[in-house]
Amino acid sequence: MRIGHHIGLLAPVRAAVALALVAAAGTPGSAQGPQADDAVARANRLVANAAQLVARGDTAAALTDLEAATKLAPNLAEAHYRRGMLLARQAGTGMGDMFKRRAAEAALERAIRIEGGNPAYFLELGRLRLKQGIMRLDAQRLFKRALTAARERGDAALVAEVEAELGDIYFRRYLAVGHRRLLTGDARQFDPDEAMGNPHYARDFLAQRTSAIEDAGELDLRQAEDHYRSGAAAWPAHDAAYAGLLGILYDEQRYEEFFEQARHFARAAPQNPRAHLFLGLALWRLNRPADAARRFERGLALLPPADRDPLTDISTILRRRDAEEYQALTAAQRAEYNRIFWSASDPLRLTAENEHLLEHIARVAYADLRYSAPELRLRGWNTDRGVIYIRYGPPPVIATFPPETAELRDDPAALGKVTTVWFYPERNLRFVFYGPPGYNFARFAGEFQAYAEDARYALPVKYDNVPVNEALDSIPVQLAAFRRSDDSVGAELVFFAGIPLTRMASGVDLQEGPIEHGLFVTDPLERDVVTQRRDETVRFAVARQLEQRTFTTVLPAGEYRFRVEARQPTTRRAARGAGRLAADAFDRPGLMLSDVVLADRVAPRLDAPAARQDFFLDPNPAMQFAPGREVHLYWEMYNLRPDSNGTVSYGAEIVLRVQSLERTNFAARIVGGVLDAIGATAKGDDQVTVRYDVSEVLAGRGRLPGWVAVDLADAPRGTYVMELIITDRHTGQTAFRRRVFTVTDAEP
Amino acid sequence: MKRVVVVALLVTVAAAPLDAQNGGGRLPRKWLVAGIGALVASAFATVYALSFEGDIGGCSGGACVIPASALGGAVVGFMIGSELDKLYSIRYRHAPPVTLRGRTLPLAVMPTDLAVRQRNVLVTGAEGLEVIRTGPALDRVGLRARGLRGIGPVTSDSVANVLLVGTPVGLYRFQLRGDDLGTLAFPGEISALATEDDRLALGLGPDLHLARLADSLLPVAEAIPEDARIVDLAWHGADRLWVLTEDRLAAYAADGNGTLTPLGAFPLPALGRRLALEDSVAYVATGSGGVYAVDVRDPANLLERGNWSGARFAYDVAVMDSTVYVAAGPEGLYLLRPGPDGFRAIGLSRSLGFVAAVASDGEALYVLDRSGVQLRRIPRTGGR
Repeated sequence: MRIGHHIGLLAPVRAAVALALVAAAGTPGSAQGPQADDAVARANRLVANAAQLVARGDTAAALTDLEAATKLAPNLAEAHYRRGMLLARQAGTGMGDMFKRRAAEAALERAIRIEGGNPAYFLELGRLRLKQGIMRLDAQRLFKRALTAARERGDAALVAEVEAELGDIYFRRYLAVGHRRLLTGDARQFDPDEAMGNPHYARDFLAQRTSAIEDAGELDLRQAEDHYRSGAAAWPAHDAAYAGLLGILYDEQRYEEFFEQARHFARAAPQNPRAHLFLGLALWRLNRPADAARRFERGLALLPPADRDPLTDISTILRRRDAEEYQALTAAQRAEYNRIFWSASDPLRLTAENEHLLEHIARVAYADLRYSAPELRLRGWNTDRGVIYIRYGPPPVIATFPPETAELRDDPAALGKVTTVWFYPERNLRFVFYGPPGYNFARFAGEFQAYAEDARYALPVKYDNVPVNEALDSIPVQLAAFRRSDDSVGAELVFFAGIPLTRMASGVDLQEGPIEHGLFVTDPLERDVVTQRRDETVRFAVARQLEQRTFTTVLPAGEYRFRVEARQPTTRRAARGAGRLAADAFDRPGLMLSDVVLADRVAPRLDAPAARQDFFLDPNPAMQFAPGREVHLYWEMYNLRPDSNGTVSYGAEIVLRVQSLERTNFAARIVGGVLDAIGATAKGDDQVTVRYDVSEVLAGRGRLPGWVAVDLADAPRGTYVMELIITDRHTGQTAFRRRVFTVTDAEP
Repeated sequence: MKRVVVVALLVTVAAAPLDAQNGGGRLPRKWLVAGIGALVASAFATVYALSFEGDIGGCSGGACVIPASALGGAVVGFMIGSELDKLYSIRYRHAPPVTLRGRTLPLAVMPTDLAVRQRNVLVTGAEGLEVIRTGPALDRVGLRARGLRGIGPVTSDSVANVLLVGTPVGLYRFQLRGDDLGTLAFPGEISALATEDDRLALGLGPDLHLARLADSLLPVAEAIPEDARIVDLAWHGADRLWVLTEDRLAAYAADGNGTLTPLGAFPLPALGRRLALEDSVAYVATGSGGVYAVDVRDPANLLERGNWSGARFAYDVAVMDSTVYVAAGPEGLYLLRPGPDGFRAIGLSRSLGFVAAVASDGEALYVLDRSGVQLRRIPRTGGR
């Protein structure tokens, strides 16, 4: 007896057969009477021994024993059945296995002739028929006989098993006609080659030359659903019955039903990892990420390593070269790679869950649910459709076209195959598959394997369908590094962030609401270095929000990555800014400069300001200035050498260069800042340089701030590079910093 | 032949919806389509026979081609018709088809749920909450709570001019009339709401709260923990509160001070989703468990009066004029007649789209079509 619950589709064939053989051990054959003769007893021992051999992986010896058993007791149905099953499970669908299939068929038919009322025999013969080409049409009849027999015996597990097989038959029929498009006008066929070469073809063809057929294949779909439901009802832990049912519910976006059925399944089969993965998929689609994460974690933990590895393997969503390098890593290295990859991919660190990781697992779970074909020994995530699904998510447009005749097709691979088109309109990605009707299997059509590789190079993965990305805005961040206030080694980093609160609050019918925002700094290996989180309440009704938020942190010299994020939980709107930074140690003895802060306003609070805290500083996080607006600069100079009177003297040179616009004249004039600078003017065609000299008493200050306001007058819209060069007149040392800013009408 | 098949298919597909609304006395489609197939095929064959004058032997003359084509057309039609008959029998295996007529209103939101409170239909969706006046005209009041995501339970009180919107973040309070902006009235993940006069019952996951509706929301007692998530709440008069959790239906007595005293509970064999109350019976939609009728005359001794699980999934339930309406998602809307021996399915309307929610104000039934993005109002009389 084969029990419906099994760990996964990849459970070795020998394990299933061994289980069956062990269950059969000691079971008397139908031919045995109350006075079992010695030969039958020996045959039964051989059957039991065969089970142990299969468990050890020695199927050849097991077959020998089973063959011997059938010779010893020719009417021992179990021996024939076990032999037939073993041969059938070994056999594939190719021509090379034809004789093995024939032998299996003969053995199973013999078992049925001996004991016609055994549902397991019909079930196994039906499964064999599924591998026998045109003979697969007979599988349904055999399964129905198996179902009747199983019901008569009251064998719930076998009822579930057969119901799942029948469900699969109807579902595969549905697949041949589901999403069917009717060709209209003079259209004769969908041309995959044209779809690949012509970027407009798929979109235009589907929109203009086809029409969807409503409810195509509904009869088969409903019958499949009924069989799966019956299987799940008969044996509430049955894997295949639930997988079939859940696949249908998911595809029809009946997520409430999906959730409830997955919950039943997980409760009935708490040790089945797929049950938890499917429940996680339901929770994720119902927008319950925390619950989904727990279920996925549980499902993955229950998987044996051999089954878990394909789920955690991310080579599918890497470019080919990266994937090859990834495959060459050790298990520990892969785990570390995964951690870094997913940490970097996390769309929002403010949320507890990594939405992209959850979406990835959900996609893998779905691919397993829908594209696995046990009779072909295929796992869903390994199939062409599964791979595309994992990379790009659910296709917004699916269309199928019926098999065409030879004269219409140039490609012999297309002959008799259903053509399936997946179209992602937003990125104009299209994939075409051919699949034989009646199978849950399809391969890339024509050259689409190569097309998929090209697409993979350009776009290895996308998560457009993840809810957090639908309302994810950007945060401009101007990062400025200063020497630490106590002059110790390391950098004080100031992140001037422009959180788009106006956009985040627009169109929201609330007076106010909470906003979470934070700074996250990691090292290049994505290990947390700095985490700052803040909560505040924002008034939505304000037409113009105060958007600037400043984060300050101190870091030792090194390379880092940073993120500034904001999230409004009620509206689920979020924004993010990210980048890399290299922190300076500020420990050199000579002249050093801080970064230059580009601001809308810089004004000293004191007569002799010593640091930026002594200024009104209104930074411009996006470094975008409206035409005609002044550009204010602020910087700090360290280690200027004073003379014997304590006076430092330096020369400042501000170079403004056009980076991207048509050559045109512009001018710059310093209109504010240190008095020595005001009035300095320069003109040029694509570059201007403003110079001035300053002498100032240091008066015990460890650093000297510098600030100017530059009037760009009629500077045209475009991108500019600003370079600040400071020369210490006493030492002749120079230091320089640069910034890129834009003059634009656009809002940041 | 291919054309014949296509034409026959189109004719039958076009005929199928008409049939689906007619109920009893349905002519089996296998005969109807077989006849159509025979006619169409013989018509083509006749045209062929008239235009082809030669005789190449075999079955090339009209005397042979026409009957042969008719036979072929009939066989193909019979097969197509048989499929339609099977589909019909699957669709209507639990109840005969019925037609429910009423007014349809396209919605401004991608709808997820609906509630009927006093004189308003409140339709929640991804874009906010659409408020529609009950009544034959289905006048739009407006779109409120724009920008809020994950809107869950909603309720309103016309007298207090209050609109309450539950979200995973908290309960937001709006004015029902006017465009004033909403304020956070109660933080927490709101899973159920019900108002009675100035009292508001809230479900926050498994915790039951009672508050008084004033200028601000005033909690009147400590939260009462239930064992499972509260999914629906309903007042039965001023002194009784029904609490539907995922696991049970519970009754509480409420006194004037806001004290809630448990009276009894009915454990549900399936996941509770929605509750509809009639005088002495509570109807509970339980998803794949179907609909339960619970006798609530004695809250200390709640009795099951029936269960109907014909629908694949009972999303919601409403009761009007002793008829129980079950929102069954893609299947449509089932009509049940409760009786002493349980439920009797009296009809299924499949023309309402994906029926995700249903509610009644006593005068009409309001049906939410999720796939068609529309609201249907089916009046009490003359609808069927």
